[in-house]
Formats: sequence, C-alpha cells, structure tokens
Amino acid sequence: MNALARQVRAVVWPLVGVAIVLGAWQVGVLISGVAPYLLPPPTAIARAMWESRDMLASAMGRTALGATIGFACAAAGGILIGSVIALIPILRRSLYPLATVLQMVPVVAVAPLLQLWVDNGLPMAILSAAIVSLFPVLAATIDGQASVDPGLRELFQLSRASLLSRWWKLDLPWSVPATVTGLRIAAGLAVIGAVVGEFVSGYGGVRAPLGIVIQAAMRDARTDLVFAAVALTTVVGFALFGAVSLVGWLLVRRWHASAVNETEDRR
Amino acid sequence: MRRSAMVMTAAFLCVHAGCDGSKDGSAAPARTPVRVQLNWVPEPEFGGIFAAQQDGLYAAAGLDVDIRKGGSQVPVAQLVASGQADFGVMTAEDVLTLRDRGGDLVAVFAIFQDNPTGFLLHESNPITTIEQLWMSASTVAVDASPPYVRLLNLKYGGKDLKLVPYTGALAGFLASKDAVQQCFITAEPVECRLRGVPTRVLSVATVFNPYAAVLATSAVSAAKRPEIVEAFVRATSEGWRRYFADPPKYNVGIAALNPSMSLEAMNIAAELERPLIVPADGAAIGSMRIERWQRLERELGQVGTIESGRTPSSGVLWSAPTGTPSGAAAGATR
Amino acid sequence: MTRLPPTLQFDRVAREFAGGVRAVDGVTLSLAPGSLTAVIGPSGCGKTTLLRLAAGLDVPTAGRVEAEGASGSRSARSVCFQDPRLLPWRRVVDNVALPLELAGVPREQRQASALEVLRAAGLAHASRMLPAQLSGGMRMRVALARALVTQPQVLLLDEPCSAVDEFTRMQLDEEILRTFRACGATTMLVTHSVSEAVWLADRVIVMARGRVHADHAVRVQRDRRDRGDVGFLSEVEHCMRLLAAASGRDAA
Repeated sequence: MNALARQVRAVVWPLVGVAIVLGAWQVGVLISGVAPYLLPPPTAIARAMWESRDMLASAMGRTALGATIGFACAAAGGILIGSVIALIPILRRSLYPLATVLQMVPVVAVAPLLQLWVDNGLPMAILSAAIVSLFPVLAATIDGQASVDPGLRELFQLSRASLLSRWWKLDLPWSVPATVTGLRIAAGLAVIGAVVGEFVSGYGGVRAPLGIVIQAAMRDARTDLVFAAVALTTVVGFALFGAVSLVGWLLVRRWHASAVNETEDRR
Repeated sequence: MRRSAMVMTAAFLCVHAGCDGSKDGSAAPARTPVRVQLNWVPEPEFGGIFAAQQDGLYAAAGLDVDIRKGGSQVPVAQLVASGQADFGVMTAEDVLTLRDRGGDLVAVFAIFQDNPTGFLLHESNPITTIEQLWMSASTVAVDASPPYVRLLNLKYGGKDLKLVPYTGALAGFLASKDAVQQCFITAEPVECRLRGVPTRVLSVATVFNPYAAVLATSAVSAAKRPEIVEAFVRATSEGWRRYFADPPKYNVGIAALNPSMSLEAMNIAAELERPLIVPADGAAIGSMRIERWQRLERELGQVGTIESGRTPSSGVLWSAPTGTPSGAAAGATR
Repeated sequence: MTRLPPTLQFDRVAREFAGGVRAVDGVTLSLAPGSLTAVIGPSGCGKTTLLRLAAGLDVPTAGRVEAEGASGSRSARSVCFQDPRLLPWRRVVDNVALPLELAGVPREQRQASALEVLRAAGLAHASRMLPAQLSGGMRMRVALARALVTQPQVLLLDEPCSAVDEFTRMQLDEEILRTFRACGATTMLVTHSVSEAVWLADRVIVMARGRVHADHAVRVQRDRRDRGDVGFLSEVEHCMRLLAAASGRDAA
C-alpha cells in the first residue's frame, strides 16, 4: 500500500465533505431566500473575511496568543500537579474524583468571577483558557501514571529505584499517550476558554480579539462577519489541536500502539 | 379623550375576537398570541408593558401577550425581523442598522424620549465629563462597540482608552475605584446608591440622543395585521399611563420576576425614568419624530454602521393605515 | 567468578494472603551455591510466590529467606519474569542497561556492560532497536541479558519460556544455560515444563499446595543431556510421575 496515496485520500475525502456542505448551504440560502442577516451564504462570509482581512488577522493573532499561552500553562500545570497527585496515593484517592468533577464546571459561568481576579484583556483570556484546559490534562495525567504496568513497577522496585527516578524513567514516559489524549482535548477547549474570556473582558477597538469581533459584528447585524470570525476561531482551535497531535505523534510514534500502524510498513 | 378612544377600541376588539371565537365554535373568546421580546431582565424601563399585562389591558384588547426577558447577548432585532418575536424592545440604532442590512423592521412606540445611557464612575474619580473620560486611559466596560462609542472615538480619539465588554454585573465596578462602566441612569446608579457607594453619572444624551428603547415589529406582519399593532400600542400606552400613576403598585409584580433588583431600587428607578419617558412637550407617551431618526441615520453613517447607501430612516415609523389617529399612533405621524 | 555464590536458604517460609489462602505453607529448602534448581508443580501450587519471596518482591508471613555467604547486597539478585518487561520507549541497549542506570553506574560504563552482554547473547545487531521491532523470543533474550548485566549472584527465573512456541523455547533454554554458565549464580527456575526442568536443572523440586512434595536430583550429567536420549527421557518420565502424584494430592 502506497503510504502517500493513503495520506492524500485521508485529506481529500474530508475536503469533499466540506465542499458538499458548503455547496448545499449556498444553494439552500439562494433557494429559500432567507435574509442574509439571518444566514449569509458561504460566498458572503468569504467576502467579509477578505474585506476585513487585516482586522480579522490581528484579532485571530490575539485570540491565538491567549489560547496558546493559556494552553501552555494548563499543560505544564496539569502534568506537574497530575504527577504529584498520581505519585501520592492519598492525594490520588481524594483528588482524582475532584479533578474529574471540575472538568464539568462551565467556564462561561465562572468567567465573570475571574474578572475580579485578573486584568481585562489578554490576562483574562489566558486565565479562562488555562482553567478549561487544565482539568482534562490533569485527569489524563493522573489516569496515565496510575495505570503503569505493575510488572514494570516491580522492575524498578527490584533495583530499589527512588520515587523520583521511577517517575522520571517510568511513570512519565508511560503516561505520554494518555496525557497527549488529554492535551488534544485541552487544545480544543483552550480556544473556547479564550473566546469566553474575551466575551466578558476582551479589549475593544484595534486590540479586539475574535471574541469581541463576534460581539461587535452581532450588534451591527453583520452576520457574515460573525460567521467569518467564528470560522477563524475554529481555525485557531484546529491549528492548536493539530500542533499538539503532531508533537504527541512524534513522541510516541516509535513505540506506542496508537502510532504503530505507521511504522508497520517499515518493518 | 384619548382614554375613551382606547376603551372603544378595546371594546371593538373584544367583539371582533368574540366573533372569531364563535366561528371556531369555541365558547371562550380566542385571543391572538403576541410574543414580546425584551432586551434586558424585567425592570422599570419596561414598566408600562408589565402594567398593561398586570391590569389585563392586553387581554381586554384581545391579545395573549407573552413577555420574554432578554440579556446582553439576545439579538432582539434579528428575532423580531425573522418572526420569532412579534414585538421587541431595542435601540433605535438596532432598528436602523438591521433595516440597512435589509431587515424589515418598523418602530411602533418609543419608550425613552431621552437617552438614559450614561457612564458610571465612582465619586472619587476625578473625571467629570465624557470628553475627559475619552482622553483618559481608563478601562471602560461597554457593550461591544456600540455606535455612541464609535461616535465618541471620532470626536475625541480615545486611543488610550481600554474598552472591555459590559456583562451587566456590578461586581467588577464595585471591586475597583477606577472602574468605569456604561449604565442606564435608572438602574446601576440606583443600585450603588442603595449599597452606599457614592457614584457620578456622565450622561451620553448630551452627545448622542436617539430613542434609546423602542418597540419595533416586522413591517410585513404589521401591514398584514395592523389591528394587532394598533391594539398592542394602545394597551402599552395606557399601561405606561397607569404605571406612572402608581409605580410601586406595579413594581411588586416586576420585582417578583427579577430577583437581582430590589423593590426599593425599582421604585427609585421609576421616578428617575419618568422625565426621560414622558415627553416634555406634552405629546403622548411613545410618540416619535422622524427628524430624530434622520439625525440618527446621519450619525450612524458617520461611524460606518450604516453603509449600504439606503436611507433606512424613511418608512421606519409605523402608522395605522386607517381609522382615527390617536394616542401614540397620532404622535408617530406628527 | 572469583567468589563463590551464596546458598539460597528458605527456612520454614510461609506466605498467607488475605482471606486465609496459604500460597506457601512452610517451605524449607537450601539451594547449593552455583546450582540450578527447577521448581515445578500444578498451577496455584505456590511456586511463583516462592520465587517472589526469594526476589524480595513479597515478604513472608512466617520464616526467612536468606542468601547465605553473599555480600548481603540484594542487588546481587536478578529476576527474569514470564513476560520480558521491557520499557517500550527505550532501545534494547538502554533497556539492558536499566538496572545499572538505577544503581547509579555512569553512562559510558553501563552502555559498555550492556553491549557486552548483548554481544555474548548474539544480540549486538539489535542493540539500537526498540522492543516493538523484536519478536517475542528476541524480547525474552533481551530480558535475560538484562538480568545478567548486574553480574548477579542469585538468578531467579519465573517461567521465562511460558509465552513462546516450542522451537523458540528450545533456543531460549540454550540461552538460559549459557547465561547460567556465564554468571555461575545460584539459580532458581520456576517452570511448568517438566522436560525443560530436567534439561536445565541439577535438581527438580515438585511443589503442591504450598509445600515441597518431592525433591529429585537429576541423574544425567548436564553435559550429556540429549532430549532424545533414553536416560534423559526416563528422568523426564520419573518427574512426570512425581508431578502427577502432586496433582492428585493437590486435587484431594
């Protein structure tokens, strides 16, 4: 099987799907005669995106910055805190359920509260993004490190390895696939978190991020611009998700079952 | 005079509805369901609507009114234009903007004659005018880029100003002595006063004074069912008259729907809004003048909100096609 | 080996699990220095528990396990398990070096030692590979090499051939024998294959219900063992009978 051909097909079919949906949308809007301020056709959205490209690019950059920094903080914090919790059995039993439950807290509900604690603008987007993306990383890290093969634990026990050495050489690498799964979920959530943070405290004017652009366009009944900004939010989320997936794949591609299909050919 | 016309119309509609009812073979008179979308939670700024509901004025006019509360994220104008609500409370800017985009809205009743929007500051804040505020480096919580903010930007620059979204919560304002936020003169300042927080309000009306809250409906359905619009406008107008005769009586019912604002605050707010709602020149409550819509259109053109080259102000005012003009309808065509 | 390896001494050793199950119930055994002892018995007879007690992975509820005459350091014991237990993200050479790494041996030195045991095992070509690239039998051989890298004085083998096919098993048995000869450690082999036990061991212990049921010294010299030879086969047959008796006792 030609790997290149397979990869090309993996890209082509989803693109065909997108094309079908966009085409149906365009035709549907034209036939039904629905008002463009309620549902603009894809061409109108594309035009709005092009006409406002400078403003949208700057807004996208700000949102991406908030989401990425927030995500990075959550990733570092989640892996660190998750490791400590996983290493200490009492903490694991008491805090793991809590970490799972806290994943359910809707950031939309908390965001106005966060406003009291940090500055408006970027810090707020970062905090909001970090909060939503922390718990999936935390839960996945605890999960991954608590499920280390007991046989391998015994191997380290036989050599009387220290707890820290076992964590660094066994628990941490073992949990990479699980943590990467958590990070991928977190990457998507980080963008949602950042936009929610912007909704309650993003800066307006030239410093406006996508969240504010969406609100302002909504107020102006510029539905085409709303859709354009929402589409760019998705692009930011997808880019972050893709970057995390790529790094995760590079880390485990040689040895983990989730990536082994790729190496099968070379064997 | 106005009142007798009102009663007559109501009586006529009752009879009319009764006929409909007998046609359907049902004993009870069938009332027309009407959905009214507010742009905020129940507060005295909607006092006349709630008074009309509480006193059964809508029911007497053959209307089965369902009042729906709103919030800062509810796109009222779009909901009304798309027929998901029959009437909506929105700003005059919303009406003209959506008309500019091809939305077919008409304004039927102005709640506020004068703009109650203002900026709320702590009394200790040295800023005393909007111009000073706009030249400062303050952080101001406002709705996402409303036209008056763009107008102020055009006028004063405001390059150091930090604009952040207005969420409707007072907590952020109370937490910081430097905080500035948009407000309705009738709402947040009252709340602060009751909490013992001294504040100062800079009124936006001095620079930007369109009808800050109007009831609008879809032009298509208004043309199709003018009698419904007329009945609704009359009942609402009478509701406001009754509300201002005894606000506390009606505020009890409004307060029951809004746990975040006390009855005491509502009673104060009613007195504060009275001069902004009751026309100073003795015209009927709810009446509108086309010149003010035209002026708004020019202002919106300046800030780029209106861009299509249409003149959305022409035809924005609804007028009853037949019958004796009276009450708000008369004011609208004045 | 300059120094004589220790005697592995089990003194009335018992291990009772929660619920009153006695996996090991009073075992007294003495494994001679440098000998290879095979422990066989039906499933659940306690042979693996006995090995884990010897490894220090479990603690007896009564009695003692001691390596007499040794320096006393427990790191001189190596264990090779049923499964290879390799770290999938490490190359073969780094897996083999792991026990030295955990003991604090400097990188260059432990890499050299690891390469040396791999070369001796004929695995030098695989040293840069990852475990996922190896066959099951190769992985077991890597695990054996890892057990050897610390130059253990006591070697504990827990059914190292249970997961491989018959042909690979014979290859692995050769490897075990080579390993045993290379390090000269006092060796305990737990297995469920009677012919393997007879082919490898000086002595075969048959366990049943946590106790030593039979203790048989293999009568064919190790150098003369041949799987097709009559003498060898009669030894196997003898042990089979002992095992059958133990199984009967087990079932009773």
